[in-house]
Order: sequence, then C-alpha cells, then structure tokens
Amino acid sequence: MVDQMDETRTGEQRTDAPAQDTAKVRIRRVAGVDPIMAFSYTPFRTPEMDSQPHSNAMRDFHPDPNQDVFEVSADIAMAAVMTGGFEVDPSSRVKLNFPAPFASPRDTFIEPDPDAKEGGE
Amino acid sequence: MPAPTAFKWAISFGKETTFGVAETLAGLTNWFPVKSADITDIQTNFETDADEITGYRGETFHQVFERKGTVSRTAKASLELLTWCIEMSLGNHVDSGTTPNYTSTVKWPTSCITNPPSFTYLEAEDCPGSTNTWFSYKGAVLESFSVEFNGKGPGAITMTIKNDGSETAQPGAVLPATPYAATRLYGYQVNTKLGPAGTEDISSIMRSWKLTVSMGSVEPPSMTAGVFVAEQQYGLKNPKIDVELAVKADKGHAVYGYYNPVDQTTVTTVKHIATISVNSNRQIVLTNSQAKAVVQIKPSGSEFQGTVKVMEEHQATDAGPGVFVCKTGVTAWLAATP
Repeated sequence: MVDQMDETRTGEQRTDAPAQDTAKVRIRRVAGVDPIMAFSYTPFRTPEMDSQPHSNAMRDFHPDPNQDVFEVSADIAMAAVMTGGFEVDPSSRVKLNFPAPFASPRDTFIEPDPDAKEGGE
Repeated sequence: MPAPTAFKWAISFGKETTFGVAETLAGLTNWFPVKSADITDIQTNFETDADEITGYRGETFHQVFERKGTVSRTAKASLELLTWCIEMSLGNHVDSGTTPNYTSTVKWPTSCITNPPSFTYLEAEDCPGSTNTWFSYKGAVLESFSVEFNGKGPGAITMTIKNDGSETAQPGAVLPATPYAATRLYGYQVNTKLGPAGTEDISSIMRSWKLTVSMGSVEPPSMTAGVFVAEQQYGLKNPKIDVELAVKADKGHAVYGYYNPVDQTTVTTVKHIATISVNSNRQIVLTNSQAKAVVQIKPSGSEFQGTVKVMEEHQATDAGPGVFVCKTGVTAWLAATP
C-alpha cells in the first residue's frame, strides 16, 4: 500500500495516489465560542479537479448546528480549526499541516510501531 | 401585454453544488425589488460562411456554436442583498452566531482557487396568464457589484450577472408573493475611517462613498459538449476592490497629505474602515488594513472636495486586500444546493 503520509511530507504529486481528503479527522466545537454555522475551505487537489471544468472553487461545509463532533476530510478539518470554532478531537489519529500563523511542525502523524525498540534494531 | 411593473426576480442565499447544475426551484424564494425591469439578454455566437466564397454576396447559413447570457440589476441597498453580493463575489466565508444574530466574515478567495461560486436565478412577469415569461437561469456568476451612497439618502446597488447562456422555461414556478424583508441601508449609516492609524474618522466631511468589487471573470476557450458556457474563472489577479469616496477637503487637509506628504517622495500607508451600521447586530464592516489613498482635489459648488481612491494592497492581516464582516439575521450563506 502506498504510504500516503510519506508523499505528503516530500510534496510529491501522484495522480494515482489516494486522495488526501479520504483521510478522516474528528473535529469538535470549541466550547464558549459562537457556534460556527458554515465555513468555506480550499479543497485538496484531486484528479477529479483537474479533469472537470469549474471544479476548483471554494467549497462550503455547513456543520449541523445540533451536533458538536464531526468526522471530516482533512481539508475541511484544516479550515474548521482556522475558524477558531473547532478543534481537532484528541482521539483523532491525524495531525494537520497548518500554514502560518497556525504552523505546527511540518510532519504528519505516523502511528508508532508498538514493536519498535528504542535505538532501532 | 408586457408589463415591466410586474417584473420579479428571485434568488436563494445558497449556491450551485456544481456549476451549471441549477439550484432547486423551490429554493429561489428571495425577491429583492429592482429599479429597472432588465431581463436577461442571451447572446449567441454564430458560425457563418461570411468568410467563404459561396457564389452569393452574403451568408447562406448561421450555425449556433456558443451562447452566453448577461444582465444588469439596480436595486436599493439593503443589508441582505449587499451581503449576498459580497458572498457571491468572494465565496470565502465563515458564518457564526445564534438566533437571531449571525456574523459572516468574508475574505478573498485563496490563491489556490480558480473558479467563483455560481448560482441560479428566476425571472418572471407576475401577471395572470404570463407563465410563459417565467424563466430560470443557471451557471450564473456575479461579475461585479457596486454600492454607492451619496449624502444621507438610500444607497444603490448595481450588479452585473453572467450566466451560462441557457434559458429554462419555468411555468410551474412559485413566485415570491412579497419582497424579502430586507434591512435598507442609508448614507447616514456610513461611518468611514481613513488614516495611518485607522482611527481617523472622516465621516463628518464625507460626501459620498462607493465600493466596487469585480471578479474580472474569464470564460476560457472551452471545447466541452454543448453550446453553453462550461466554466467561469476569476480573472488573474482578481477579484479586485475599488473604494472611491468624496470628502470636503482642500490641499491643506490631512487626507491630501496621505497622498502627497511633505517629502513628496512617498505615499502614506493608510487603513480604510467603512462601517454601514443599522445597529450593532445589523451592519457591514469593510476593513482594508493596508492601502494607499490617491487624492484629487477639485472645486465642487462652494467647497473643495477631495476624490479619494483607496488603492488595494494585499496583505496577511486581511488575507487579501480587505475583509468584510456582515452581521445579518441569515443563518448561513452559500449552502450548496440542490
């Protein structure tokens, strides 16, 4: 299986790679902040966007006002956190690459290998 | 008999899920009265044999190969219609709030974006037996809009709309019975700050204020099947914002000094903050955190007036040349429909 996270880190583009937005991130509303009713996001590029006219527009996410937790694609999650009204649920297994000023180390989550020993083999 | 006085048009506050795929007719419920019954003009590009020698002195056929539509609308300024214009032009927003007060913060589309949002609208003469005048138009983009206030009176909105060239008869449409309950906007509600600190209130010397946003839309040469427009793109280095205001000022005024300070070699960087406020929960605030003011002083009646053009400068603070904060009673904008 293609290591999607490695591709993200090296910035390589492959049209046959799984779309980045297939990764799901759990986000939740930040308590005490005016509830976000809608926000736009810049979709991650996909082969579909390259092959369809007018597919590269801002897209919208309208979170259900009656829900606090959502499982969304990474592009939506990134925009959600930047609104200030959402945070990534700690139980979510994906970290995001945020642009400045929300920059975090430019890495992505790599699930720790429980069998790995400190210092390597 | 055609009756322009019976003209209605209707939009939703949403957008098309896919360009050229019409929004649901039932969602087109918002009718904002217009000043002139301008109806959509469908333009047709024909291929002919005018450039071939055929034995005749003129064309022998006309073949349709492309259609596109345009229309201009003029309306009195209202909070909701102006917000719709802003949303539809820029398409990048965050909406928040609780009943009945909502805030939509609208910024420039990111540099990775090519296409503007699109919408569907309805046009009709609402007369008995006139259902054959009811048409819907899809694949529409708001090419440009302007809003202008002169003195204390009502503001005016002008919109230029382009659609994909299709025209769909809608004899079964349900037309709005009453106009949208819009919050009208007046010149006396406009407060303007212009200066290096952004706190310099020039409202007391304001004569007029005009905002124009245009997307410089481009229809790329398309070879997709069918004769209708398949794609609208933002023009390169677009959308653009132009703010022009007139103030009572001569060359001794600080406003002129921003344009041509004593050293005459620089132009002062200014902030422009325009607030159109009905109350704290119903208002639109435009903030240009960084701009240059180009000022021309001319006599006007018994005073000198400065015509100030606020030149946009894109910057990180606004993630573009400016930010709109629109406070309305509308829950959320640009919901993708159907």
